[in-house]
Amino acid sequence: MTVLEILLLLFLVFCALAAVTTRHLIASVIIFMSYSSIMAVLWLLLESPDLAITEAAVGAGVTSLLFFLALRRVRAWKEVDRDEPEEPL
Amino acid sequence: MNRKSLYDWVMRWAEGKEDDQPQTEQKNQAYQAFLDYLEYLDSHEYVSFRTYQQMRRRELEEKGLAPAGSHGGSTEQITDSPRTGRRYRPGRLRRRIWIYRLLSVATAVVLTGTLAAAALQLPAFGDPNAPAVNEVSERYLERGLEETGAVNAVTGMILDYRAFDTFGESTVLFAASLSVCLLMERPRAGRRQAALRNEVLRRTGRLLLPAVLLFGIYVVLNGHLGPGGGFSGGTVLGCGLILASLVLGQAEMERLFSPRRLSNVTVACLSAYGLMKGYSFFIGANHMGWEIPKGTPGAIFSAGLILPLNLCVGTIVACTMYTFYRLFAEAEG
Repeated sequence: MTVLEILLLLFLVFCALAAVTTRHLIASVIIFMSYSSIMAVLWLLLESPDLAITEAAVGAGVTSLLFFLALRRVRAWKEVDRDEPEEPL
Repeated sequence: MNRKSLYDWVMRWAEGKEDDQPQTEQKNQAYQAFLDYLEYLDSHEYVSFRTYQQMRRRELEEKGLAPAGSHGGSTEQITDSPRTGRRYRPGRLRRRIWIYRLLSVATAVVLTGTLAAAALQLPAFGDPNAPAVNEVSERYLERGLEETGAVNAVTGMILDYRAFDTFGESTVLFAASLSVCLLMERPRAGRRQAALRNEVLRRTGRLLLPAVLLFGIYVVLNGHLGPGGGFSGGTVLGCGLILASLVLGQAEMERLFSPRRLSNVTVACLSAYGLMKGYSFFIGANHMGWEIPKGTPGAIFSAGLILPLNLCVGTIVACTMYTFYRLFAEAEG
C-alpha cells in the first residue's frame, strides 16, 4: 500500500461523507463526481483499467449529468448563467 | 462530559434542534409560529393552521397586544368539539422524528460495521490461495487467447464465454430506455434545449467534443486489444453526444439523431447482436463444422465476433444514454 493509495482512500472517505452532509445540492453532486474520479484512479491502481474507464464515464459523467437534470426539473437549480449568487438549498 | 449531558446532546441532535439555521427574520418567525402550532396540536383537538392563527390573534387582542380588527379574510367558527377518537394530527410524526434519526444512524453503523468486517476477511490482493483462483479463471487466462482470439482477457470473457449474459444486459438497458420513453415522451411537449449561451463554455465544449467522441470510438473498437469495450466506450460516446447537444443545441442534433432514428439503430444493433451470437451459439460454440475465423491476435480485425459485438453494445449504450438525456432535457417547461 503506497502513500498515494492511502491518501486517495482517505480522500475517498472524506468525499463520501461530504457528499451526504453538504446542504447545497449542486455541491453535493459535484463532490459525488470527484468521488467517482478518485474511485477511477483507485481502479487503475488496482490494475483494472476496464473498470476505471467505466467508472469515470458512468460515475463522473452520466450519473452526475442525470442528477443535474433532475435537480433542474424539480426547480432546485436556477439557470446558471444568471449573475446573482445562488441561495444555499 | 457526563452521561446525562451526552444523552441530552444526542437527543437534541436527533430532534433536529441544531439544524435550525439562522434565516431571514421573517422566515424564522413563520417557522416558529408553525412549530408553536405543532406543539399546540399535541395537546388539543385538530384545527387548521389558519384557524390556529386567528385564535392566537384573538388571544393577543384580548390582552391588548395587537390592534383590534386586524384579522382579515373569512373567520372560521372555532368550536370546542369533543374528541372523536384518533385523528390525523400532523404534529405527531414530527415529534417522533428522533426515532427515525436514531434508527437511521444505527442502521448506517451496523451496515458499515458488517461491510468492514467482511472486507477484512477478504483474501489479500493477488493472493494465489484465494478461492476465486480456481480452474475457471485459470482456463480463462491460459486458453482465453487461443479460444477467443482476444488479447484483452476481460473482453474475451464478457463477449465470448459469457456473451449470453451480455445480451441479457443489453436487453435490460433497451427495456429501461423504452419504458422511460413511454413514461416521459410527450410529442412536441417542451421547447427544445438551446445551445449554451456562455461563450467560454461553448468554445471549450467545441474543442473537447472531437476528442471525447474519438476516445469513445477508440475504446469501443479496441475492446479486444486493450482495456475498454462496448459498455465503457459506449458510455463515453453517450457523454460525447450529450456534450454535442449542449454545444450545438438540441434542434441541430435532431437533424442527425432524431428520436426515431435512435430507437431504430438501437433495435437494429440489438437484433444484430442476438442473431450473431445466437448463430455462434448454435453452430460455432459447439464446433459443428463452422469456425468463426479468429485472425491474428493483436490485429484490429481479430477475435472473431468480438469486434462486431462490441460495436453493437457500444451503439446501444450510447443511444440509450443520449435518449435518457434528451427526454430529461426536452420535457422542460
